[in-house]
Amino acid sequence: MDFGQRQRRVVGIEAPGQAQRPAQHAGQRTSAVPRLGSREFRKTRSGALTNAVMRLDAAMDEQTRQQLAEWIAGEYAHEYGGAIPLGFLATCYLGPPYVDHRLSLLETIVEHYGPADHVPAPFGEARTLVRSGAYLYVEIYSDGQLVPVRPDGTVVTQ
Amino acid sequence: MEGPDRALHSKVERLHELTVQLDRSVAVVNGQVAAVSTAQQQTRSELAQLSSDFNTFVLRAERTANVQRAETRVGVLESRIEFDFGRYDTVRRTAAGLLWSFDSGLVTQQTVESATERLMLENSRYWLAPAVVGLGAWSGGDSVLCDQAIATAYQLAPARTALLFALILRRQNRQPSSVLWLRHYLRNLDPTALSREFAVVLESVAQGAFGTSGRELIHETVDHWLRTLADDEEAHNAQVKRWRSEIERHVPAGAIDAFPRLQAHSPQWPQLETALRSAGVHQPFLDHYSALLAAEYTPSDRIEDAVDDILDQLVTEYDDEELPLRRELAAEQAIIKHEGDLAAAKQTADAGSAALGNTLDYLTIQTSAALDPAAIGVSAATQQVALASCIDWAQRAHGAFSMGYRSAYPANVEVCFQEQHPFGKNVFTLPPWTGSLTATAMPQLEKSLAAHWDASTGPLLASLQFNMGRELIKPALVAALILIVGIAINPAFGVIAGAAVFGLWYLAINGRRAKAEAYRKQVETALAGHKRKSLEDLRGAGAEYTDLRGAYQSADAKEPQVQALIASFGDLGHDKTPFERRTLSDERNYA
Repeated sequence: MDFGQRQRRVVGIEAPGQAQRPAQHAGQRTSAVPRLGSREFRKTRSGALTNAVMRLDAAMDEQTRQQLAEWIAGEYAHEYGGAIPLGFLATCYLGPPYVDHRLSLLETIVEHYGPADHVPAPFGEARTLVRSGAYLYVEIYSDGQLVPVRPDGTVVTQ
Repeated sequence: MEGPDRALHSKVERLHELTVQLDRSVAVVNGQVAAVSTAQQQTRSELAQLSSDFNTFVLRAERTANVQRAETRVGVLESRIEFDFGRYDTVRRTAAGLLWSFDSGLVTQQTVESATERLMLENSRYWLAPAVVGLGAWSGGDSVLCDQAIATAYQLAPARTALLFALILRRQNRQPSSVLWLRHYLRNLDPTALSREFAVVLESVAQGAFGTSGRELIHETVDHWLRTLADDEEAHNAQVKRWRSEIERHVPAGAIDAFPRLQAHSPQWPQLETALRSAGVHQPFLDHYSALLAAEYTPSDRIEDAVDDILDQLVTEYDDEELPLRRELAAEQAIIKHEGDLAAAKQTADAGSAALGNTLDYLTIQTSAALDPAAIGVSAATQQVALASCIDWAQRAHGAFSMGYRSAYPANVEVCFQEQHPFGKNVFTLPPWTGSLTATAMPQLEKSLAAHWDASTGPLLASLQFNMGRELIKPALVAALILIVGIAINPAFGVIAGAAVFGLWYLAINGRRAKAEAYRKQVETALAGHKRKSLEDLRGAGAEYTDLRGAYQSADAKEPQVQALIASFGDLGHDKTPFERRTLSDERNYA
């Protein structure tokens, strides 16, 4: 792997004793399968939610990131029919060599990828959608479903 | 000493001749193999061409036969419809005439009664016949006959009868009674299985025929139905599916021939072509629906005319009995329209058959009114109202369609070069070379392809190089031998003989060398030409990909416009329809 293709992994600053995430957090973040038909699920994502998802990428400490991720998971659980995405894939504005990044709600990590990097499944499937530039980000669910979110917060469902 | 030398020499000579002969034979066999291979390749391509021509011919013949069969069927079906249901037209015309005569008062009661009773005798199973008798009796003041006739009509087609009288009473300015009939009509409807005349009710809402109370009644009913159907995901998904097929209908057809090099060299061409075509859906969709939304609806001058129009539709629409034949007719007409392409015809017929179904759910009525108003017999005004109800479905279908082609767009677009060029009796094969147009810059690709060509042609050209040194070994040895032997006999003769043999032999070899060199140059020039052409194709494919990407992006960028246009369907239900103004002006007239 040359320089242009390396991954940039940001896991926040891990203070001693915080390296192991408390078990209850992992337990809370189970990603349910969205009921596509549900009107709640198809609701336009609020500005606060889309902003929060976009902010996950910004440099911040582990604790703040974790709090933000929990808030996002809570929003999905209560406002959008209960299905919590595994995470998101979005365009990366860090510039070359990165083109997109993965935000995992389960692990609270941000990973930046270059064009030739391998993005783990099921996130990898969303790359072409993100590259189309038409969506703000793509929600990825545990059963592999991809739900693109437009800049105005509207979602695309099958 | 001389004896064994000569024997050895003659054996070496013999061996050499044999080797030369073997070389020649191998060269001949090589040439023959190459010729056979070229011939085989040619035969194969001719066979492929023949097979494709044959398939095209079979397809064309099949389609022509399909069209001929469909034309015959259309004739048969039309005459059957005319024979079986032609008399219904008489009833329809009488009903319309009766309504007109109520207004004008030019027809005597006696004529009305005789005409209507005869109709009853001829069309005992058609609901409109007793309804017309009831109308005649009503005008004559015969309440007993009127009640009986209405009861009979109601038995045959309760909903239609209720609607007919609702419309007629509305026409006669008896609004309370008309709304009563309407309520009766609506209450008996099942939103999951509506008869087709409900489309006419939608039409009358658009026309403002039932005034404020009628409008409220219909809105209440429709809202109630929508609440009932809100959780019926299957029904909603069916509408999304219909919109999806409506969107796909706008995908431009025909071959994309602006990118010949990409087509020839890129393994991703099929995906690229599909993506470009699919992205091309937005503009035609925008054009079609913008025109539809911008169309100014001109309302009839008098509300009575509007009611007449609706009544006309009610009395002229197909009866349930006619529907199977009408469906068959629509299917055959679709085959003719699609020039015998059964699959395309089936798609059109399926899209239309929902509108020609016996019963429809309320959501389907809305979609049909929006997509195919003529099929369920509603006007452009109703179509505009119906579009407003379809926003969610259309947006979902359009969003999913766009997502589909975007995710299928190839992330990596490659070009592949693998060529074969015959030269002399041989064939030069360029081993496969693949480069990525998306990941590698063009100068690097060119350099790589040029290096690949050089690496592949190098050994071939080297093998054609004439090796003078090797060829001279043999004459040198023989000359030396002659020299040694000659010197032993006579030194002067030995030197002269040795030099002469070597000189003559050298001249012969040099002649061969010149020929071989010329041949090598010729092959080298030909291969250089092929290499140049390959590099041109590579540059061309790169330029074509840039163009294709640009065309795709500009077509794809119209997606938000389509979404906005669909969202604007909602504005139509309010200010563009004659709904409000017609009802208000109408009520002022009646006040």
